[in-house]
Amino acid sequence: MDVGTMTLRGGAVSTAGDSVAGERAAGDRMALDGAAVTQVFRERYTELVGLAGLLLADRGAAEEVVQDAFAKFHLSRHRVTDPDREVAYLRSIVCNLSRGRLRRRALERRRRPVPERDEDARPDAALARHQRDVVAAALARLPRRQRECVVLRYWLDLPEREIAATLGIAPGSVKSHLHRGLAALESRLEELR
Amino acid sequence: MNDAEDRVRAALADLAPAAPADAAAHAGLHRAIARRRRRRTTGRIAAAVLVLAALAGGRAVFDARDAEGPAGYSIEPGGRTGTAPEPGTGTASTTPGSASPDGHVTFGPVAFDLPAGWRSVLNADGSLCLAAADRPGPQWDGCAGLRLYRGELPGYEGAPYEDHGPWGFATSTDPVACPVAGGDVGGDVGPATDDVVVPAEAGTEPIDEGFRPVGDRTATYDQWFARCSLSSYTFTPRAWHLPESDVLIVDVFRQPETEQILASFTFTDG
Repeated sequence: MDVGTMTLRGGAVSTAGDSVAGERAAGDRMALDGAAVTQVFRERYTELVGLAGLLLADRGAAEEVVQDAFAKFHLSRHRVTDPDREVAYLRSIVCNLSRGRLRRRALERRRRPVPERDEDARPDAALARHQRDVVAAALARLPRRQRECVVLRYWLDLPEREIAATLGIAPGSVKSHLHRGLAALESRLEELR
Repeated sequence: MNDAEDRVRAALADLAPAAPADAAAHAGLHRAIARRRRRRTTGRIAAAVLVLAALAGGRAVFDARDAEGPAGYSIEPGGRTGTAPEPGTGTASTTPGSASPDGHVTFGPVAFDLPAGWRSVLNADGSLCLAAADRPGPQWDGCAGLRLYRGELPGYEGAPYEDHGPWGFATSTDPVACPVAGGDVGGDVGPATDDVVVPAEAGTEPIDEGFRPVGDRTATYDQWFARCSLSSYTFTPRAWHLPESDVLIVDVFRQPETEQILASFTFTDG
């Protein structure tokens, strides 16, 4: 099943076989758009879940955010006139939605403490978990912009110019955020050596 | 390649979750699309109801059951004045507004005078929009003039408002369409959806900050710079924050009457 086989007209879901002659052009356009979005979904989903997962430290929330981002992208894709900017637009949406999710999570935690989780007590699993926890904690402790810049640079290998376009900030600000973020992470990673 | 960068890359690669674009992911995508379409439909219905209510003319009374805003706020005929009750109480915090010939408005702990030809409109989120009734121009979040907030003051991307922080006027978490088309404020004032608001070299930090008078009090003041990504349009939003009164005044497009309105502010909170 993919987005391309589900077209939407006037709020009703129909298949390609239900196209009405007078609406065929609109239906075909939406079907083509759906097929293109499906392709981008297959190509970029894993990468974007990694991005959201690093920003949110939560795989389940990351998948929800990315699926919502693709939904928003699908419904507002007509706004992006340059196909080369589509992936950058998607990344922006993922970063924006992740921010909103983090804010809501902070509010919920103030109202409701997070319960302890059951964990594997074997020594090697515990060590790996500890190392991962140190990295995750160090990343979470970074100010939001530094965290976003660090993840986009060192997880997605984006150049600074592309990071600036994704986040809507100046390239000089990206450079500054990266410098500080890297320095902060490096000092925390030293203790794992 | 830098050793520190290598270690960070390896750490992030180890930490990042891996999720395939499988059937479950596709199913999640379809659910997300359906949710967004339902929200759009609900929003359009709500907007249509408000438009019909406005077209009915005369008094428009917002009931707490029907709107998210405070109950009991009334827009007087001509829309020149109104009073806004305390949020959540459902009653007016001051004497219910009857149209004052000089356009006096009370909004929680503050009161001020509107210039001739201006009107105030209460939004569903409890904020006020003050604008000249017959002046075409760009709008920001549906308001062409000044926006007043009280209580929970929204800031950059929906976070709480922060003095001297980044883009305090931009509360949306999504890219915002340029408020004008073709960079020509005097001509077409419709939004250009392919052209979005982005920072310039100054970034989202204030280009001017400090303190400014509002009535007989002093507000923290910030000014930012924003531009549109494709057109030549630029604008310099400003904000005045009164922390004791918990009031925020935002002027996105620099109305000529702003300083006059701010000078007329009086306070009932001590």
